Amino acid sequence: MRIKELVEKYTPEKLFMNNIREVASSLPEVRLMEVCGTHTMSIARNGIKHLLPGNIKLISGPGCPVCVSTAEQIDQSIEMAKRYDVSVLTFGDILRVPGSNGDSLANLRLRGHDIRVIYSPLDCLRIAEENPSRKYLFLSVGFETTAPIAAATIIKARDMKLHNLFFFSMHKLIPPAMEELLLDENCNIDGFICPGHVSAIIGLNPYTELSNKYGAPCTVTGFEAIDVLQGVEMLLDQIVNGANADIQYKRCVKSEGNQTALNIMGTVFDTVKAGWRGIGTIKDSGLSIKEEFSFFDAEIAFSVPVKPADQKTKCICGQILKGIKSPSDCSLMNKACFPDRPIGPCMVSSEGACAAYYKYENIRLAA
Amino acid sequence: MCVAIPAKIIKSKGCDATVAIGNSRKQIDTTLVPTAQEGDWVIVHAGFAIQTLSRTDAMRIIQIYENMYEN
Repeated sequence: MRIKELVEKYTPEKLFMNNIREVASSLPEVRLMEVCGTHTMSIARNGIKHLLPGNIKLISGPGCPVCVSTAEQIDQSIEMAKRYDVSVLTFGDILRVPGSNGDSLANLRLRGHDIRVIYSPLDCLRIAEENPSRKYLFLSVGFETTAPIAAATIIKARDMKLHNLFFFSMHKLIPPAMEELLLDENCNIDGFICPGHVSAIIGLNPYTELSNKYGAPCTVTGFEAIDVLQGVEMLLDQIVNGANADIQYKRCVKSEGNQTALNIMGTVFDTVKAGWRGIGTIKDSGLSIKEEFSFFDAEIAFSVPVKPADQKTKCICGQILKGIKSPSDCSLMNKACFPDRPIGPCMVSSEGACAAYYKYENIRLAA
Repeated sequence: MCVAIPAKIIKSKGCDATVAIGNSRKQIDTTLVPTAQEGDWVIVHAGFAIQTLSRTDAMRIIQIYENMYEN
């Protein structure tokens, strides 16, 4: 066959799918978990699950930082805003996440509180500088892609000598959560589709450690359909030939990550235990502002009592975030939980597993 | 959200930079990629450049986003 015919017949997608089918035919059920909300949406939007052989299962994990923020943290945010009468600056998705009693920052805004959605933490600097008589609380949510950005912003706030901007760190770290899930025998994970832009910061090393310690295949994967297919192909190769963490998303991710960003993160934040909605407390998985920058720590400046959330609900977001259940298993899906009337965080967030399912995979029968 | 957009630095002074994203111009911060200069491509997340990338890779990502938008 001539090269031209080969190229026309074997598009990259077909090549990857051919390889996947061939390897999968010799394997039992394989459960691959993605831990990035953008992967969740890409897989759902492109129908990847339905392209793969039946024994290759793609599971959504705790890849959405909004979804894994605890009800207690939402309660804290609301209480800080109310008790200290501070203006709240936040990324958009967290506005509608319910706290333990169903209240939310969106509801607080409807009741007249000053709560604004911002694109970048840099906006907080400008807003605080322009309004020195008002105090501002920034809800700092995100994984390792966003944490260095928050850290750099805190340093800038210090350099600008701002006295009216405070940060509530709800940052979490992905690799400790991956390790926790590997150790959970209910999860049965055979490999990880690793996040793209988190990995642009942390590089390959954390996944190499997981591969070496647990024999867990890990592949840093991009977000287009062809990226995910190649990522799955690379993971199956690791399952057959031995775990050896690697990078599919080479156009954005370097093995060494971004050391400058990691250093800035380490300058501002300590690693602490953190609560993950649906999973529980994971050691060394959260970021807390260091004493040197404690002036900017909202948990000190706007101290409020933290009550354990008492949630009686049929919402199964917790089990969905661990990959034990899927959104289609939830009794509230299509009956009580909808994108415009969400009950759990996985439906609230634009990258939550339930939001992705509802938008792209939901088959709703006509009445 | 993990969205990061390729952008070309068209003006840079210290850690303040102006980037071109399509026909748009945006102010970003390059504190996290201090070696990035005018003419370099970066990926931008929440107002910060988080990694440099080659022109070839940037064009590929832009093409992907354009295809997604069209579909």
